[in-house]
Amino acid sequence: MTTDDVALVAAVADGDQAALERLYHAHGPAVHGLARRLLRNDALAEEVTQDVFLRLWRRPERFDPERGVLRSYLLRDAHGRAIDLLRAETSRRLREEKDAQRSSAVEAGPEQEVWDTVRSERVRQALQALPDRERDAVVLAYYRGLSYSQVAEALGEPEGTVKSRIRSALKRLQGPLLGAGLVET
Amino acid sequence: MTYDDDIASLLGAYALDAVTDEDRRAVERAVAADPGLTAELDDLLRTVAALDDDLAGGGDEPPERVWRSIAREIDAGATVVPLRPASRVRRWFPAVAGAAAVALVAVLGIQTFLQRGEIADLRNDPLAVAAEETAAQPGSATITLSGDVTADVVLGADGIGFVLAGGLPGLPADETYQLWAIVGERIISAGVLGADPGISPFQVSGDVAGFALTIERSGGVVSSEQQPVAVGLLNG
Repeated sequence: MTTDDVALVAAVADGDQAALERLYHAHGPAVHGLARRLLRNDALAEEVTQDVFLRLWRRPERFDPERGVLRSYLLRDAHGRAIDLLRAETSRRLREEKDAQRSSAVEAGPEQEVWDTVRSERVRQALQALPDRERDAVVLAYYRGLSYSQVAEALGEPEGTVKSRIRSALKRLQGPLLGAGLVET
Repeated sequence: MTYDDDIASLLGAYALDAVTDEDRRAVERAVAADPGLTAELDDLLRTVAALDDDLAGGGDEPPERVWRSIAREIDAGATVVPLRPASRVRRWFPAVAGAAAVALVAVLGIQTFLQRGEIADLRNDPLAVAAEETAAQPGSATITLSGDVTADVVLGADGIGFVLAGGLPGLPADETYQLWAIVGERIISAGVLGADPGISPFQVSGDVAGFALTIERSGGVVSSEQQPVAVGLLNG
């Protein structure tokens, strides 16, 4: 419940740990689920879940109810933290392999494992309806954790083109996702 | 392409967390000052929220130890409570206390920063202007963090501060500087500054005794396992 969430965040701001625990039990599974699917690593997913709720505890004022519901805010934070870990793990792995060539050899295009993480048929259809290059850019950035410059390198396109494709793709996705009731209005 | 066009073109990548720390700060500064950009970003974020919702699905109940760890960390006043094996943890608070004894601490005017040349052009950077205004407020303090590197922190009496980190050497893309506030016996993260930081705002509460800088993995950490690369105390 959004109203409850706002009141609970206000209580968290007053140092109410029980309020944080209620928010954790309400939204922790979603945060943890997103992190697990993105990272495919239980220990890292737990780290993300802990980070997200400790950040809410420390900086509750960062949540602005005028700009969206708490679940969206927490999931955005979880995605950001998971992406950071994904990039760090990828960098570490590539360094260990000491294979400089592979640092830029990110495969373009969605892979089966990425599509396996897309749960809703509506979301899958919306992504598949995008022009190929826009879809590749969004999938690499959102599901694989690549920065736009890494996406550009992977797709062999200028960075400016990739930035435009991502922006355009998100605008294009809004209609179908809104139609499916998946976007807040 | 104008500056605004350039920022607007980044909004999609920003919404997907696909930008550098430097880009992120630039977008956030621009969005804070431009309702048009705010509206477009909110629109994009609503779409991304649908992707997040889908990825989260019905959710996966985290193991009980996750909440226990969160609660322990809160109870301990935000000190180090790692989920990782304890053998990997090197708590650095005692090192901070030792380093603090020899840390160079000074209350400086903002002109000092100009004289050091750490900031290319204060007048063109709204954060630098805000830092300068904060430094001029009654009750504010300016602290030099020193060690392997040097940075400065301006802290207002209201707890709002700025770290002036333009002079720090750049880091690899998968690392970041992180600022920590020393509040009593606690070490609290005051901000993840990025690999090539400039001026960053932060907010702290409580009786701040000093600050420390560490180098962490990109994105920062909740609690540091690293030795600080610079330390400064208010009452040094």
